[in-house]
Amino acid sequence: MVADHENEEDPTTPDSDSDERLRETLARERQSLLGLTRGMARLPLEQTAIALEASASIAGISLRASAEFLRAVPAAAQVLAPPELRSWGELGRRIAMSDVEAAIRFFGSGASELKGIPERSRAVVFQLCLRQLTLSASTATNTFKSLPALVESIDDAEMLLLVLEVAAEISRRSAKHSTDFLQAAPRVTNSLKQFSDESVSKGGLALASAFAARAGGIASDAWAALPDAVAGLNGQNALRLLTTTNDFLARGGGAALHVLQAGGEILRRFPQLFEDWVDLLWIVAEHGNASLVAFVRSTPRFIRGLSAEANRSQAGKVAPRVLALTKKIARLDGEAALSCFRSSGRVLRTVSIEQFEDWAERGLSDIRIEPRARRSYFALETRGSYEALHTGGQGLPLEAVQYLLKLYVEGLTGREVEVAPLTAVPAESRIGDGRTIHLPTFVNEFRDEDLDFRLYKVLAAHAAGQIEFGTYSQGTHELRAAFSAIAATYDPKTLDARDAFALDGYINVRDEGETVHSSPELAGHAAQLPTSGDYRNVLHLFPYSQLARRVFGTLENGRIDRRLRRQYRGLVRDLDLIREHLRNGRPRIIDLPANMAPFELLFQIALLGGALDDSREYYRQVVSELETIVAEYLLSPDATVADTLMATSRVYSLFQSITPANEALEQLETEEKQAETEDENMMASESLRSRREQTPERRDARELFNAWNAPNAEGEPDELAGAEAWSEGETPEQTLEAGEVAYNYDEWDRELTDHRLGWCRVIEKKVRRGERTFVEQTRERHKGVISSIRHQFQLMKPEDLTRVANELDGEDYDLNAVVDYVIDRRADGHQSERLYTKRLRRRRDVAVSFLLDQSSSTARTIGRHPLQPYTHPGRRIIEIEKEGLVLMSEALEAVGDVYSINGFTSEGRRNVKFYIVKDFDEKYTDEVRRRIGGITYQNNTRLGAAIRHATTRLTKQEARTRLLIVLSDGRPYDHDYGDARYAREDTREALTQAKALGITPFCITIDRESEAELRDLYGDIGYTIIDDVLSLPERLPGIYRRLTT
Amino acid sequence: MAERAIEEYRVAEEPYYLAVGSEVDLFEAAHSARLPVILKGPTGCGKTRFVEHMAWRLERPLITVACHEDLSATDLVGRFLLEGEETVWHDGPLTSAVRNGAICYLDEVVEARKDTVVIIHPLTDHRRRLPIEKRGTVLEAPPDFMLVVSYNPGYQSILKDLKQSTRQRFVAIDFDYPPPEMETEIVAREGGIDEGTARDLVLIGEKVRNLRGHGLEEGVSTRLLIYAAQLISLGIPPVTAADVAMCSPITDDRELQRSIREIVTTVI
Repeated sequence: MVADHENEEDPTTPDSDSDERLRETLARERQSLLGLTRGMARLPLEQTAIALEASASIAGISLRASAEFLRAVPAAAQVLAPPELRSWGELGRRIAMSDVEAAIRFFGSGASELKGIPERSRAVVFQLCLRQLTLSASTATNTFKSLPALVESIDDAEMLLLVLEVAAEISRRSAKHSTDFLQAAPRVTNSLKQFSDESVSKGGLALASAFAARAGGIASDAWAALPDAVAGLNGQNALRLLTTTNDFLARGGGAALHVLQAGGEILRRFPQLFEDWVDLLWIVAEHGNASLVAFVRSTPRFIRGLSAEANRSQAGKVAPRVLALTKKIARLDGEAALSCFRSSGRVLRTVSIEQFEDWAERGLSDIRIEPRARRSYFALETRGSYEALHTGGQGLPLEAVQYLLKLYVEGLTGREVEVAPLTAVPAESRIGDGRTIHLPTFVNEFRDEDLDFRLYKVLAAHAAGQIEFGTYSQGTHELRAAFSAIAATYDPKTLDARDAFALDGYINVRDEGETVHSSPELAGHAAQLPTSGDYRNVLHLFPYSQLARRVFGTLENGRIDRRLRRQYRGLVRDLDLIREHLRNGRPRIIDLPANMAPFELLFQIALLGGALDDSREYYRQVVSELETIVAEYLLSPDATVADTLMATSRVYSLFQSITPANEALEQLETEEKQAETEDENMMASESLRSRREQTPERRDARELFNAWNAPNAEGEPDELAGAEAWSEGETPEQTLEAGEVAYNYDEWDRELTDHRLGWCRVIEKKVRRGERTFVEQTRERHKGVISSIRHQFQLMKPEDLTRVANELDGEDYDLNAVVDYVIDRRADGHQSERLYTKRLRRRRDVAVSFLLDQSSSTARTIGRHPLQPYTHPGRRIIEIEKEGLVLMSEALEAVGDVYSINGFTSEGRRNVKFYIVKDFDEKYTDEVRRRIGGITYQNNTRLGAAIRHATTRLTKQEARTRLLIVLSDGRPYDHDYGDARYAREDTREALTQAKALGITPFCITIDRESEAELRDLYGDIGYTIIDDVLSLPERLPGIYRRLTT
Repeated sequence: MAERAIEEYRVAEEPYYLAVGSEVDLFEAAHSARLPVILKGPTGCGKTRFVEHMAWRLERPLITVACHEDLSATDLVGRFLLEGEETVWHDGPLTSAVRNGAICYLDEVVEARKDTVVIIHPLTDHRRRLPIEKRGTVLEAPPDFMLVVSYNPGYQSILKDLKQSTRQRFVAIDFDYPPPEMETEIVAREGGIDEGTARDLVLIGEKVRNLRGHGLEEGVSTRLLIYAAQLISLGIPPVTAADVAMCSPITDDRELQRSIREIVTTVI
């Protein structure tokens, strides 16, 4: 304690400024101290005692802090009760231990922050802050400072206490999280208070508390997630959610947090599913926390998938069954259930729920299936499970008729088309190619195969009709007229925004002050159809182009329908059948929401031959207008797509005038747009299509007709839902370069005894051109051998003719036979009439494909052979193989067989690189020689996939004898190619398939160790081992000759 | 090979032929100028009928040889045959035609071996002679003799092709399926059916021809359309007739057959 009372009120002025200041400071000091004592005197005794005690302990750390404390005590004592005063002092002392200035500031700001805090809470506050001090002084002081604000926003003493308690609890484990918690508190408590039922708030806090007790820091994450989780729920559901989450806390904070989030989603969209879902989760939880968490995390996607269904009520009925199914599977195998759950969204787009259940039952009942196989089954990875899904039930799968329909459409139109299912899981497909028609993966409308096929036929005929009757025509005279007319009809602003379409340049007419659409010619200047513009350009002119698109779709279908009927008498039967069926299935017009009704009417009039009676009854006026429009534009035999566009414009205006406000249409627009962006964002990493990109199966057959018109349907690459859905984070796919084409192939998994669909991706790549010198050097080196090879092979050419005797007819007499004949005649014996000789052609009809393993194992060098002094020491195997190819090419050129040289390497199943050094129909040019020179080694050997691709290419050749010669230095290997046995089995399967297609495989290898395996794969006479690698080049032509004679 | 009296080769009645372009005039001109003619076109589009028609028109006998792999020079020119105690020379069809100033028609000439085909070379240049090596004689062709060959450029395999030395001796007339209106008329007349049905058949034919190269080697020939028409005229239901005449014959591939059937039922 300082005692310096003498100069307290000395008014003597000092001589200099500094002195002045010093004296002032001291004066203040003294004053404060005086005030201190005075102030102290005013306090009740208890307070004083505590204060003195506290200041003593503070002084132990810092005198100044202690002084500050004393200064603040009187004011603080107004606010704080004695024990609080002590705590406050203690807090400050602790602060001082790390940061004196902070402590001084702390005391300096007084205890006013605590004013608003109810008494009961104060102890908690101190506890909290003390704990937070372990992190940093500033954290604690900030918390302290934020108290008033907190008090204000949480207007409820009880709640405040609870919040603080939870924060204190959390702070036991993590100061940071407790701060986060407090920061979020206002927002969260507000959202909880929205519920009229108080127990929600209480529940929320109880939950937070339980989280804090159980799981520490994660409590603040859960807390922050609360508002979103309970948003949009009613009180009862909110409570359910909270209780459930609490229950799952037993399984860990992480699990519970996900449950909170996903559960909220479910309750919002499909509350009736909640119970089932929770049950399911508990069953899954039996299999371990990892499964549980994985499950919960897949739930949002599942929900989204369901919500994307246009027919919500349908989705609502289907989902419980899916959950029930999953439960059943989950009792047996958690991972399988997860796979099933994940694929359910995708699957249900293509098959009915009954089929799905059937398929699942089958998967379950197959007892000999072991866990890994079962999981693959339910993930729909294998060919077997895929087939089981599609052929199991009723309905006609597209696969059965795909080729047929393709030919059909090609026949009708004369154009090459591809038919793709709406969800594609291909076995071999090009990525990013051609003109395709999309048809539903299965049709089950009639439950009769014949009739279902006729629906397919009608859909295909419609698609053909679009091609034949010019839906996609570009830049025609009529289109231009339509464009101009429609451009003129709509806002100049729209025209402005569509500047992009005026490719020919235009004069800005708007300066003249007139509206642009005062005359068609002026409009023509401002916006013109680009030279290759089509119907899509015109549709973009409409303000609500999505709406226009839908109208256009239906109208165009109507036009095509009419043209088809006129052109193809026979098809009328099928069209009528479908029309009848559709008519019978229409909903009642009054059951439809007001904004859907116009489309239904349009559909009926355009495609169903006229409005149904109830439609006509309720919407007489609209029906009659629509009928007039249709009659005017679409009935003429020469109606073109431009006419449809004009009709679209009329109908568009009509719809705008009859719907209550533009709101309904806007609603439609924004809904669609929202769904677009939502889905895009959330499904960025998935290969599932969002609703806008694809129109999946509907119970409403009408949608089948509109698949071609989906807004984002243009230029979409084919999807690989099967393979990619599985590969979450496996070997990453390398991007394709320009001009490269990739193909998908199955792979055989011996454990599953089934194929994995579309598992491997083979990329046809260009060979880097090397030096020509390699080939030249080789030829130089093997000069002698080459000339003898040439000679030998030329002898093998088909110009050879042999003489055959004893024929019934021929060019020449066989003298011996004639003599015999005469003698026999004289002797009256049996006379043979086979007196002639013929010359028969010996034909050669061979195509051969060489497949060279280019993996890094070929980089191995072979030592110098003592008997071959002209070879360099230490040549790589790949070099030797290349030499062999050069010699082989010489031989093949000499004999004239059709041949192709290919190499392959692989880097994981999605990056199998297939190099075409020489294609079948290429000539052996300089370019080819350079390519041979450029062959190099890298990566691994995924032999199965390479063989499959080589087989595919070879089958396209028409020769009678087709050979696939594999040049390998050893065993197949790749990093995700299983163990050695797996790789071998897959290779064997590929070879078997090749043989089934009429190709003879043959293996030439230098690996002596692999004899047994080779015999296994290729058969006794299907391989040859070259012991001395260096002799490979010279032996190769000899082997070939033996094979093909 | 038994010889038939040359008179039996005369074409008695006018064979129906609807000219598509100027082929009739061309042929007549070639005949006057003593030029050999090659008719190129797919099977069943009227080449043989055309030759018959022209033979009738020019009042010459017509000797037809269907060429094949095993056709030898001897088959064309003639051979000695043992008959009883003697060896008798028998003229082949080519020799017979030359001798009698007839029109000799080698149908599907690519099918024959190349060393057989070169026999005709001396007949096709300005010499117009046929050496008969076995007899050691040379036959001079009278002005009325004409050599006509046909072939289908459709399935070209490298092995079966006309050598340039052969090709360049001929004047070539291209044949193809007639344009729809004419084909309708032909089918209606030859098939004995009404024009409407004929038009349908022609439309089917057109669609199926689109599949050429997409799965079919060759489209439906006019001949097949006529067959179908004939069946229809005898009371066979159109769809069946189309199936039997236009679907099954051209392919064995099930999918292809089915898709053609669907096209048929689309049109009729």
